[in-house]
Amino acid sequence: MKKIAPILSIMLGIYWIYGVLVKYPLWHQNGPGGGLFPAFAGTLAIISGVWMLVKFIKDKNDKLVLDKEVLRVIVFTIVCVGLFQFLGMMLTLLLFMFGWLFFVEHIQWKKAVLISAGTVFVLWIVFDIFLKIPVPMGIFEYIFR
Amino acid sequence: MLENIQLLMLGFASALTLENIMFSVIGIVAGLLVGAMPGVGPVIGVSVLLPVTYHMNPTSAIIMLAALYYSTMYGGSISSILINIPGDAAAVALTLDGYPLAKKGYPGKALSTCFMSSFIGGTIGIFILTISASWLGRVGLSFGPPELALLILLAMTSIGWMLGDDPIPGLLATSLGLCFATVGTDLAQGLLRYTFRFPTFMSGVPFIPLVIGAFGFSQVIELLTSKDDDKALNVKIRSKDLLLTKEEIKRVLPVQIRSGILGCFIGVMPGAGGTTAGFLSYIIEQRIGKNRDKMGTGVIEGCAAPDAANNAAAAGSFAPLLTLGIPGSGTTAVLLGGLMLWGLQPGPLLFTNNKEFVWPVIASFYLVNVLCIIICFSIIPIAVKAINVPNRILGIVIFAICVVGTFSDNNSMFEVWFMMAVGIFCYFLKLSKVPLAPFLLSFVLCPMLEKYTRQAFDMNRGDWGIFVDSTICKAFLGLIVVFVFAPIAKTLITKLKKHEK
Repeated sequence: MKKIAPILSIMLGIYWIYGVLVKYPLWHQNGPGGGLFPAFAGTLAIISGVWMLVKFIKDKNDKLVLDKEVLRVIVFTIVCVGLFQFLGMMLTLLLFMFGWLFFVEHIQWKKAVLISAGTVFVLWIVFDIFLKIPVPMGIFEYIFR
Repeated sequence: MLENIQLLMLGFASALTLENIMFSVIGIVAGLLVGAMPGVGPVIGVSVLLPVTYHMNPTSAIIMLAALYYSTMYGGSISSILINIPGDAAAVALTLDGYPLAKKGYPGKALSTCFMSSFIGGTIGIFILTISASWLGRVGLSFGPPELALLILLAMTSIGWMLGDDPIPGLLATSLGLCFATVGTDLAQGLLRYTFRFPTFMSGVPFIPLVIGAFGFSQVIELLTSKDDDKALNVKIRSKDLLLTKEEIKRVLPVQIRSGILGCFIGVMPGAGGTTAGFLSYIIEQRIGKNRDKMGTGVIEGCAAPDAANNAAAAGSFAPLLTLGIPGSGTTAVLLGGLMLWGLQPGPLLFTNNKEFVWPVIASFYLVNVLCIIICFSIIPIAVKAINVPNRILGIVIFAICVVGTFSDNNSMFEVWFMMAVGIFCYFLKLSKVPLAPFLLSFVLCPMLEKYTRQAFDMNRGDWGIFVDSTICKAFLGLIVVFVFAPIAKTLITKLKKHEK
């Protein structure tokens, strides 16, 4: 998995250089143009990325496969955030926090309810009530607002 | 100066009313809460509290808002140290040593060092403000685009010191920070750069989602996938662990004093702010401090430097606001709006025409600082318990905080998705042992460097001479040369000596 970061960095660097070649000039009228800093950044990203990639390729223990545990967390969090527009932010967080603690971490249900409800309650008080930030409420939007 | 101190005493007489103390305490409690919540910076806190103050008298109102502004700096340290998520941008540098120190089993020491540093840095800043507010305001104005460009370049040369023995991962991090920093509208021609047609990116990559993703979400993945500990640290916090020993105080006091002075001067400069002050003082400590070799591994000097600097910068930013009517930071810009709503016109005449307002406010800064440290020390025993929460529980709680905190930045779901993408990317960076500090430092400094360089060239129609015109520029150039070549010279001298032996 160590190779993923340098590969992504090289891709980013190439895209940045492409932008400079196609759209952004290095120098414009009196001073640096829009491409000067990106050109420097892209070049540095490619050189250091290639350097690190070569180093990791030599390490035969490292495989370019995503660890199952990592994938599970990423998918879990993406699904959770994806459901905000349907169930609302606070309810989804409550359900997912409880679900993770109870089903994945096998924490006692009473403790899981206490932690998830307590966290969401504090966040709701601070952000929704005190700071008046209109958090997404999903299908409950029309009922409560 | 003597007159200023006399006026300050009169200010104390007005500020020390039960009503003002009560408003200060309300501001401090709100500020600590706001500061500790990732994503909610002092700007949001002050903006939210501003309408509440409309019906108060201006002095009490500004005292309450200043208390909130100040205490957010204290609050930002709490989440940086305990859960590795900076409460606001100014607290980013604190994660470099604060969190590792907490992880070593000394969360109380880390917090008390930070609070003490905030107090000392803040007091230094306020004292400098008291004796030389109008002079400071003029100093701030003498920094034009070429001076600011060179100051930022000076800060950027220091990235090299963060790289350590293997510079390549650090260079990769720097380049990525630069890449992210160049997203948005280009100043030279108004071109949209690397926005991928997302409107959010038109004004650049949003800072809060980036920081929360880099530090918070990447850590969520680490915590939820860690196999080794359900046990957390089980740190037993004894009351004596909360206080620094005499020897430790001797170690951090010089750091706090020099960072406080540096922070105050950086706070005065328009646009530089607490984040730059925090990073620059951390870097200087890494360069000249007695414990420089251990910086980044969790040492109290690494906690003291950025915290003292960012609190002093908060005080410093009031100098141009009160004396010239120029806000030095986003928060002071909101405060400026508040002052004008109350019919006060900040500027050189404020100190002459509204003495009854200015001096109680400056006096209240001292009061707020004292109240802050008392309240903060009293919450340490409760706060440090966070470190004992098992990783699997802490991870999921941090996830909820990250998501809600990021959303609150701009009420934008796009920013939440972006935060997660950055977090996943930074998780892979961490796996490859790429340090995140140069990434954030270059991200913070590059847009300022680009802006001021462009403005400097425009001022002088492309003539490079503008960078050597003023004495300040020459001094900065000299420092840049010294900072770049000193490590090389030092290495060469060491090698020569070895060779001779």
